[in-house]
Amino acid sequence: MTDRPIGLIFNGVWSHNVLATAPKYRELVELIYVHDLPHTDVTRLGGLIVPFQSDHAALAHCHTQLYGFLAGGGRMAVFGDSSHWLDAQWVDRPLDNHWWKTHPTTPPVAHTRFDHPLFAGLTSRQAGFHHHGVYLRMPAQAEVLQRSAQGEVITWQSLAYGGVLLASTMDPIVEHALQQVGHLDHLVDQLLWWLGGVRPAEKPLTLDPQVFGRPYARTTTTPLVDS
Amino acid sequence: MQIALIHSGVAGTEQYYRGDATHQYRCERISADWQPCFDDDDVVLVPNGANHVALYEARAQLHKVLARGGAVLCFCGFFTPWLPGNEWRHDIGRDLRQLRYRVVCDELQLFEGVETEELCCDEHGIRGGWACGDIQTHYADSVVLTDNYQRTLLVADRRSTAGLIIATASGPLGDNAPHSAAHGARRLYRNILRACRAQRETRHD
Repeated sequence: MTDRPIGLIFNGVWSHNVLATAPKYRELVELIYVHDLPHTDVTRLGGLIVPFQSDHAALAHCHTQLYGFLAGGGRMAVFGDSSHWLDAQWVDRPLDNHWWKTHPTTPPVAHTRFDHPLFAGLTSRQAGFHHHGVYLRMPAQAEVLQRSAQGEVITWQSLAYGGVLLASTMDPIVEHALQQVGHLDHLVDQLLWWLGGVRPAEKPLTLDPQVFGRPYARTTTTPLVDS
Repeated sequence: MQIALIHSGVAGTEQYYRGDATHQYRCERISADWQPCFDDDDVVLVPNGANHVALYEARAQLHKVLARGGAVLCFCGFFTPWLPGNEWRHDIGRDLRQLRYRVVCDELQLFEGVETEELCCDEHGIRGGWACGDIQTHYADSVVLTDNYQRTLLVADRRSTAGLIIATASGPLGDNAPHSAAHGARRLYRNILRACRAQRETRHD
């Protein structure tokens, strides 16, 4: 267990802000504005999340810092698209976010390793939904955690960098904030527990109306690393 | 007409905006030390998945576009206060199966040839996927589209500034095939560009 916050890399996108400021999560999650990341001491964080709709070119400049976090034993989860700073190859695929309406018995994520702590105890519906592309290549010795119905890689993890690097083309962060997939509390709660050791309170996601219509306060510390 | 497309580093942003003989897109990439210049642009377009921290920091440049009669389009949740006269709030907990849209006032004819049901309900019969918030606008006559939960989903605001602001309550709009026939959201986007062209001609008069 740890009381260190989980860092959510923040690309200034509204859904990232909504999730991290929600009363359910705000004590556990800290927004790290992507352009402030080079100035941020990530070693104080209990885990890192890179959500869908991130600026991966900006993250690539922080490669040393991010892999240093892993080398220190940290856990990092990368979700969504085009993570070209990983030692992996992501490619796009047609988005099927209507499967639950058109083909409810054939979900796009067909195979999940429920013996992994991120997915243990979840139902198939809670653990798998639509995804944004697939991985054609993973780091050496990485293990596959989820595959599509076509057998392509959706989620993998690697222990080769010191800590745990998990990557998935699903994205529970943006989707949970949108609330257009209505059952993601389970997976997000489990994710935060897996990353940081603290499980959020069992209650639904709600919004804090005070976070709308006000500026975001950026950090102004001296750069810790060159980028 | 030159359109500055705000690019926040999100993969695939450009693919929804294809130029043609009438519309040229200029990619304006947000970076750590972003200092945009929109002096040669007629329109600034903020697509879905945009960085509203950076947009707030560049609000003076954006306001300058509006002050000289240009247009700013925002199809994303503008949770920071950079868009004059309008605020956006995320909204959840509605029964989307009951969702219906209604055009309130459409002086710019943005909904010419657009069926609201095509925005409200996709081709798979799923409702509520297009917009998920509410715009609080300072001028009631800016409201173009509302829903049956009394949320404002699209505004066309010519009163807050000397320019034209068109914003959706995060509903994405774009056109990746400008030479093909259009209906629904694509037709709405083309009508918005037509309104921007009219705004530009007015400004040049």
